[in-house]
Amino acid sequence: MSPRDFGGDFEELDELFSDPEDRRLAAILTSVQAPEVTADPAFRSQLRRELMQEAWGRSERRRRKGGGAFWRALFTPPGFAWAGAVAGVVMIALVVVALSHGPGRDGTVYVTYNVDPIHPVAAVQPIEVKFSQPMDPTSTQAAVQITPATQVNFQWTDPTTLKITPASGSFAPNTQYTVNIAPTVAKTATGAAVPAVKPALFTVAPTPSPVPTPSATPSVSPTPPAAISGEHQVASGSASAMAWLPDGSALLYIAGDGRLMKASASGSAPPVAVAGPGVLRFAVSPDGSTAIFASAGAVSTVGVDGSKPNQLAAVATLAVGWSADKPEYVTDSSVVTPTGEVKLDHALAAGSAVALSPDGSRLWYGGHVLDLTSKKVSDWPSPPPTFLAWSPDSQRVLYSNASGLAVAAFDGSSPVTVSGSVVSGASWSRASLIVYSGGGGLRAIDLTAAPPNDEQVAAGEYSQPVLAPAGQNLAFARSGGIWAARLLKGTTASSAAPLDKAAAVVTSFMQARAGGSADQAQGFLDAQGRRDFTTQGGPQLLRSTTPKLSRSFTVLSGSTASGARFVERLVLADAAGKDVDQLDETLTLVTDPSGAILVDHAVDGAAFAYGGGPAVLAVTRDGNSYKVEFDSDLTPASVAGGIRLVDAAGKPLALQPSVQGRTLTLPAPAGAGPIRLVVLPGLKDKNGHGAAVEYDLDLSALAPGAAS
Amino acid sequence: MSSLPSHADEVQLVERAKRDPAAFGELYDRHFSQIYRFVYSRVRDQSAAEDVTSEVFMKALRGIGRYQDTGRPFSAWLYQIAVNAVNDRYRSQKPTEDIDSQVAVSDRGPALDEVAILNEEVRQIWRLVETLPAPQRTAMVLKFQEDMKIDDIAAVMGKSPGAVKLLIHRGVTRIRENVGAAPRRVR
Repeated sequence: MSPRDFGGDFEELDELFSDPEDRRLAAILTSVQAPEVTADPAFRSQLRRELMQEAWGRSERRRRKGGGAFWRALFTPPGFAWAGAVAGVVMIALVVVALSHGPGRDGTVYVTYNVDPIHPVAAVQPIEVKFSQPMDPTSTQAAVQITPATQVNFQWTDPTTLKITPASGSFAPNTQYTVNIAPTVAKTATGAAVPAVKPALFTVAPTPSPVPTPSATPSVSPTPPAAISGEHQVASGSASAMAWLPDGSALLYIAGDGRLMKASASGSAPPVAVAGPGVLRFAVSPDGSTAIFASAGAVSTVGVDGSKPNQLAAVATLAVGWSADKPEYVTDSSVVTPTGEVKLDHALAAGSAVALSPDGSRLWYGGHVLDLTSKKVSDWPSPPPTFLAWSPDSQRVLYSNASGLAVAAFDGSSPVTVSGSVVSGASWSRASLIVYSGGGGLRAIDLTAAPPNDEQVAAGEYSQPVLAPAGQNLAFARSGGIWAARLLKGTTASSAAPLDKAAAVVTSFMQARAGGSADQAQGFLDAQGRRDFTTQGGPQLLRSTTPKLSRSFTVLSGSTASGARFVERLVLADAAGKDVDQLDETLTLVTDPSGAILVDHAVDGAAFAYGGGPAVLAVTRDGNSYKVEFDSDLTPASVAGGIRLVDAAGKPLALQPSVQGRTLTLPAPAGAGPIRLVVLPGLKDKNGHGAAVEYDLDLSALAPGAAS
Repeated sequence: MSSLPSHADEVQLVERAKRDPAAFGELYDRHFSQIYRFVYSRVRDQSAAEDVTSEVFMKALRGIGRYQDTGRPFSAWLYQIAVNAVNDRYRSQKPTEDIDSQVAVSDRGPALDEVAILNEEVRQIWRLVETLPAPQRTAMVLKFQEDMKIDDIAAVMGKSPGAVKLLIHRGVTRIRENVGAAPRRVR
């Protein structure tokens, strides 16, 4: 410590203190100053960085408001009008790099970027790296690393400013990029190496959501507007017979092992056994409380919850049913009704087509109809047609013959052909609607139309369709499982949602979720949608823990039989705002009876790491080809082994892909069957990094004619 | 004693800093140490000193557009922000207590003189300074530690030069009453 030179301030002390002792004390306080306090260098640097960041941000905001900041010229050189037209550029100093022997005034190089993690930039926004000192172009360009892998062009607008533009002309939308300057690679013009630099992080703004355009090729079997929603599996295995409880809350079916099972419509709980094994056929009571079932040599009743099993008779039966709330059954020679036994005019052979009407008043057997009250038999023309179903009111019969499907009165009169299809099964649980599986999908016949209107309501596998007597629940068999869905067409509730309006709903829905507003997000869900988001292991409406939903975008959208379908990419970020995970969520939207467009079904795919090799950003269909956009420039040679299109059975389809930059074009196979795009780890970006995990995407929404 | 540029140079730099982030960075580089030192002398806690120093420079950045040269050093403006920031900090943390009651703060961390000044008498003097009421202490620190002119201190503290002189005079008198003849042995 050394006394300071007090200089001219002695005069002030003299003025202040008349007492010599006071002056002496003051002089001591002045000359023996407290020692220099040294702040933590890290704090000093950090504060400087923050100040510079704030300063650059403020300056840029002023510039955008029309101010004439000096660096405007630096960042808007001649020929830069293209970049200048892009809104949302925020100049922020991100990094201060200390150079041990740098040529700068204080041995420091400042590296600034024209992007930041907060403000999304346009896809055509060039990235500018501004150094505070002239740099060596070759080493600096070699040091630039961009993730996802992107082929870029470099341009030095002056010795301190490097402009980076993607070779394709634009960055990938909806993608978070990092630009890193590799440590010690870049050198200043005087040869000083730049040490580690904090990378720039920025996100490219989305482009309009892909809306598929209709195929230019006329579709042989155009898919009609959406008519089914909320498809979900309720049980595994096969079913030899299925019937809904009258209120549509649960489905009874005979499983492959012969047990009578009950599955909830929602599929939220495992099916439970009601009776069996060895059940051959069954019928549910009109009030839905009891089932009558037949096994070899016995006929019994049981509560639909499995309670109160009761054997009615030890007899082989050909059909079972209900007369009001009383069981009845058919043996090979008679019908046992609540009021007594009605003898048949001839013995029935095993395997004969025998069916009791829903009200138990009539019996179809081999081209004859027996009125169990009057005992009168109505004979149908010979040869008899193939019986398919009784009408719900027991007055009519649905059957098939060589001409197709027809409906006639129970006595065979007034036949009407309702469809040219020839099928072996159909469900007629509503007076006005018949559903059946045929033509590569689910079809419905609207009997209220004149003539009856037969049309496909959904493409795909919908075997053994059974429509609930009330409500909209539909059961069907698919790929070794029992599924349920809601049939919108011809029922009283929701209908297809227009794709454009549904897209707006999806946007609002996702914004509410990203904003953490549960109430607002719930408002976009119908009852089924709410169930999906509250199902254990199902999609999460909000994410309360890190990583949290930071943004989302539409990978694919289109109209399907189930409704307007959107595959939304949810990007999850850590606390620092860096994207770390992503997953695809498939949303199906319908229009409810009030006209509101709501999310009716949601299902999550598996999460996969962000930045783990090429990732699909968007898929669209353009005429006869699929256009698949990735976030990375691809290695063309890797496409053949890294991409597959498979049909519903998992069979790979022939590919003739073409690659340009990060865009892959695939010929779309003919037909409207479900197609899946599979991305394998063999697909490499330009730097040789493969996709982290296998990824597949259902392209059904992009089927010809599916687009709206 | 650091060598400062001329007032004209400083005015020019400040004007540039209103538009040029790099010029503000230069101001920061020039004044960081003295502001941090002053703040530390008042709060005696590294974490608190860092918080307040950050606040000072952030406020300076946000307000520099409104800064007008009055002929005083730019540092006087920074000290003014710092004084207010320190006062605000104590006011917000302990609203019922005046900063004068915060003498115990000095006991939490090492006093500046305890760190480097070996002379027992001088250490005693500075500890006595820390026991003074806040206005007296601020005025004395700015005068004797930061070597500021009375008029500049007055501007910083929002008082008249006469009031500042009175504060300093009372502070010195109070210390002399307590330290007795000790200061004479310093040299």
